[in-house]
Amino acid sequence: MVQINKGGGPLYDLSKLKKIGNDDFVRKMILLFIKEVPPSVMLIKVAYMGKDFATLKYLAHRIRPSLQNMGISRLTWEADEIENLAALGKDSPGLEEMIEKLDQVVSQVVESLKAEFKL
Amino acid sequence: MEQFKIFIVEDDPWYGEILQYHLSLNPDYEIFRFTTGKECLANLSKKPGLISIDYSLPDINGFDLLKKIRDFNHDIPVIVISAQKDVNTAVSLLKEGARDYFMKDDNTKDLLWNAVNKERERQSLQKEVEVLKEELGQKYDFNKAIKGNSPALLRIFSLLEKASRTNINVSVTGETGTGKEVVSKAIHYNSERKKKPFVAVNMAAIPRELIESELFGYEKGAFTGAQSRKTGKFEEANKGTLFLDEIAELDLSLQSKILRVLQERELTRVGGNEKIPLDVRLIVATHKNLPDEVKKGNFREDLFYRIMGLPIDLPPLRERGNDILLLAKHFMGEFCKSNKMEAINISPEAKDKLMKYNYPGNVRELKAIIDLAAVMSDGKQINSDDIYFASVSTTDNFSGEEKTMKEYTIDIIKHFLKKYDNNIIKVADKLDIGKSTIYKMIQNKEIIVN
Repeated sequence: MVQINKGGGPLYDLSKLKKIGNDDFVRKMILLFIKEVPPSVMLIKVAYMGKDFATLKYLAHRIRPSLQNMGISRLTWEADEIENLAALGKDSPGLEEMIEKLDQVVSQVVESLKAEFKL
Repeated sequence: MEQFKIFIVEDDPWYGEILQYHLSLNPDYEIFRFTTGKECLANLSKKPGLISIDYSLPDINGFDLLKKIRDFNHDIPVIVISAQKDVNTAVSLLKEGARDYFMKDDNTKDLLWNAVNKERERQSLQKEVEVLKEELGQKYDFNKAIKGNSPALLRIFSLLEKASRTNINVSVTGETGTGKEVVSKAIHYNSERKKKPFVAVNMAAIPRELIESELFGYEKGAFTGAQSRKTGKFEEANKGTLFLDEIAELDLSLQSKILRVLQERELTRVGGNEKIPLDVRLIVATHKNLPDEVKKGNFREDLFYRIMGLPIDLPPLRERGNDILLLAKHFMGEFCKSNKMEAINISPEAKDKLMKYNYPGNVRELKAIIDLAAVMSDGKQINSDDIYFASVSTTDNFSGEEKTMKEYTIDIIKHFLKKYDNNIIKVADKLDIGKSTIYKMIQNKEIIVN
């Protein structure tokens, strides 16, 4: 299922998940995404504020597979870049904006999933 | 069928879920998921068939976890999955014993699936080999491998038990067909080396110019045609038993090389420099009289004493009395079973005929006789006429039973008359007797000429 947001372009694309497993599996993974990813994003923001770049790098690395498998293409580059910049061990220009975008898009995705799947 | 247990150690719930789902598509797999190294280690007693670990776990890194798993049981295959694009890490893990290393990407679940299938097949084949080895060992249990209860054979059983209990070299002598290789295998499969290789080499069957490379192996390029390195029989038999049949056929130069290998307990492949340590139990066999060969200068005395070990001289079948009938019955049973035939009896007359023959080919010949008799019979019973002796030895029937000198003389003359088409002058010449002796026997009806 491909959800189109108001700004154009798909918000997420579940076709990859459907290739892996059946409907029950897809639903399970959606629930996992809703459960795990928003708290991880929150921790990313906390880590950034505390300038804990090692944790920031680890968390960005963690959420990357879920973003890819949910087909959230608008964030694929950001997730990679947050991890790469955090690996430098210091603040970098644009890092804060990317984290902000990550937070916004993930929130949109979660809202949309809940609506679509009546969760 | 027992389920194949797989551990997935992955702290990322998303990734762990995908891997678990994918692998559980096979109902033969039982998946256990852990999020820490500690949980994995605490459950190793469940005997997993394979463990997949994430390199970056919260409580331990993949390298240390791999080491701990292998310390517990180094046979458990471990696959490491990581986002680390680091060749050095991969190499270190593989050197430490990881079965494989995968990058975390879209293909990982398929790679893991293939790796698990491959490992399962490997373990299944390994179990099959263990079972076959066990069966082979049982087949070579003394009483099953060597049939007979004659006094001559019971002495041999006693020696075989002594040989099996230690690593002493053994020299097996006996006429052709007495069971030298069977006895050697029985010793090996009843010894502590039974799970290690038994390698048999017949010196008489290998061209002289190839024996050295066959025994010691060769390095790539050692000679024309040496396209790659080849392991020799000594190396193949390492930790196990090497059986050298017809050892007396070795020429003197090779005897020196073998002596050196046995003394130094190491060998160098042809064309090579590397010294390879050896731990081989040697059993040799010959139909010749080795001490005689030593006296004649055909066999090195020092090598003789090195290989002699425990000498076992197998009695010819003709000296084993009722073992002939015991073996005949056994071979008959085997033949009928393998050819899906009803059991066939042996008539008293056939048994009598079997007991009178002297078997220059020994047990091997008896088997051939019984197999043929089973084919020639009416299917229910072997009669005397079904027994054919086709010995190529010129001393065939003459020593099969006790006779008077006159009876032996008559038999010999009959044999020669048959051979030379009743040409009395020729036979007398060959036997260096007067032709009148033969004529007299014919006149007295001691010999009937057709």
